[in-house]
Amino acid sequence: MSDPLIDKLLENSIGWLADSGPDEDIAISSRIRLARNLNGCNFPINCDDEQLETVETIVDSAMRGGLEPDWMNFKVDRLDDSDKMILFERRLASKELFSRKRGAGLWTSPDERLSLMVNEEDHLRIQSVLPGFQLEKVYETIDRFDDELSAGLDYAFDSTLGYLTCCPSNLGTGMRASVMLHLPGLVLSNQIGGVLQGVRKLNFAVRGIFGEGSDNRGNLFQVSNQSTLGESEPEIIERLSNIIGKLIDYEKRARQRLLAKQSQMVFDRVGRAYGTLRYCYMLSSEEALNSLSLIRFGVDMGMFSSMDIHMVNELFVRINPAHLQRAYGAVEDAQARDVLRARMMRERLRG
Amino acid sequence: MLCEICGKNEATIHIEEITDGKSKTLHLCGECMAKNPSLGGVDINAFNLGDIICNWAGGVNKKHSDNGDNNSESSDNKKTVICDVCGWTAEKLHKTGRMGCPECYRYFHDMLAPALNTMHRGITHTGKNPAGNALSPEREILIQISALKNEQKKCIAAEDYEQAAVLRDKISSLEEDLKRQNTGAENE
Ligand SMILES: [Zn+2]
Ligand SMILES: [Zn+2]
Repeated sequence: MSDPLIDKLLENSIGWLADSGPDEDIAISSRIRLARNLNGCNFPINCDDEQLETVETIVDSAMRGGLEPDWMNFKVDRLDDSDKMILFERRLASKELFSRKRGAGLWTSPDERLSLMVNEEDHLRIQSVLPGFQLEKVYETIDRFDDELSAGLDYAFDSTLGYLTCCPSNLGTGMRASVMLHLPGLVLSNQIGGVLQGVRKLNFAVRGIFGEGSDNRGNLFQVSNQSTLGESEPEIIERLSNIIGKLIDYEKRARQRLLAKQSQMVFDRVGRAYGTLRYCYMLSSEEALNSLSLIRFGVDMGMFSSMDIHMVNELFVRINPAHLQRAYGAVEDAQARDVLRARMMRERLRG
Repeated sequence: MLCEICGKNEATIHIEEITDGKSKTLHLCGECMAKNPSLGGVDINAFNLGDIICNWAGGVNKKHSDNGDNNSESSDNKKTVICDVCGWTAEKLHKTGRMGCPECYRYFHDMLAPALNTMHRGITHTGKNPAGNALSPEREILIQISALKNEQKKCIAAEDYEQAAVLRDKISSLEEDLKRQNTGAENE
């Protein structure tokens, strides 16, 4: 049976997609997560159900102690498959969290800007997301929340190694900071490969948001730090912010060059994408992502005066299977889902 | 599939690189990965961390046996390390690339140290402390040392050996301070 709180969550707009932020024409969102663990408890990978539940009880009581009353709490063992997919599609929870039979949960603020997974790979995975490019602000938010939490929790911490995490790749600050970038200009002008390779050489991780590896749909990329030890949180954020600033610059220049030299090609691509979404009757997720990306590009260039960039942002989430199913009812196969996806898109674009 | 670098070991790590929109996969073994941090810029979670950690540890153990100490145990040294607190074994660390509990870091520290150096930009935490956990004098010194070492690396890269020597002296004097702090604490 579905958790009624999921419906409440679906009524809200997704704060980090629906609101405005700095450089939002290229940077969709800035995200930071902190990995934290409790002293004296095994990491979840080495826990039985009972130990997991003990950790959950400790974390939950710390959360109830100092929170606004409107935060939502989900227990994994009380969610059905569709609930889980909704949380996954909104990037609130991971598949690893759902792999636990007992003792795993999720806390989130109603605007989804601040959330906490309990018993994922680490006892606590705190996450904060804001729209646009503003990592410092995200860090301020999550740092304060982490301090409040740690007042009630005994974190596993070593003076030399920092926060002790289940995976040594998170050791030290336990911090992974990332920015989601929309880079159609670099993709259309065939510069993306070289640019991303350069980013990787500087020891940052880059991955496509949708699809693995080369199969990059929607031209969305996430750039994040890899090293978590040996630098302070502000140092990591500064280094990452520098590279993000450069990527935003490259993308801007690529867009300007495309408009100066190949404007007809660009208008044609964007126009065709609009035609597809506005008039299609079957729409695969791949075609939807690629068309949405072009429309977002068109909105940035002022081709659609009436369309709002935040609506396009939210559509990137709403075209996913579990969200479609919630809006239009269950369907038996992917083909029927393509029909629903096309219907939703026509309705949205009719405005 | 064999490692594309040494052509000897089984490739257990597969790194995908995207060039001009085309993806190419590099297949290599844990040993070569550990030896070539420049291949880095890859997502550390995307390959088997356990392999890297244990290939490094394998190298470390070999060195020990060359020195002649603990000869009898050395060959399966890494298999016998176990965390007394949670029961996690080196074998499980190898298989998962994960620790079993916070105390595991004490028991597997020697196995882990070289891998940490490859994975991260430093080996000393210089970031925040849990709130209410004031900075100990010992930690303050550690942080200073780490900052000076970074500075020193930059000087050496820029071939400013004079300044690097000055920094080296500062570092060793701080390390003396640290030793004094530690023995002071033990005598208390
Ligand atoms: Zn090799
Ligand atoms: Zn342990």
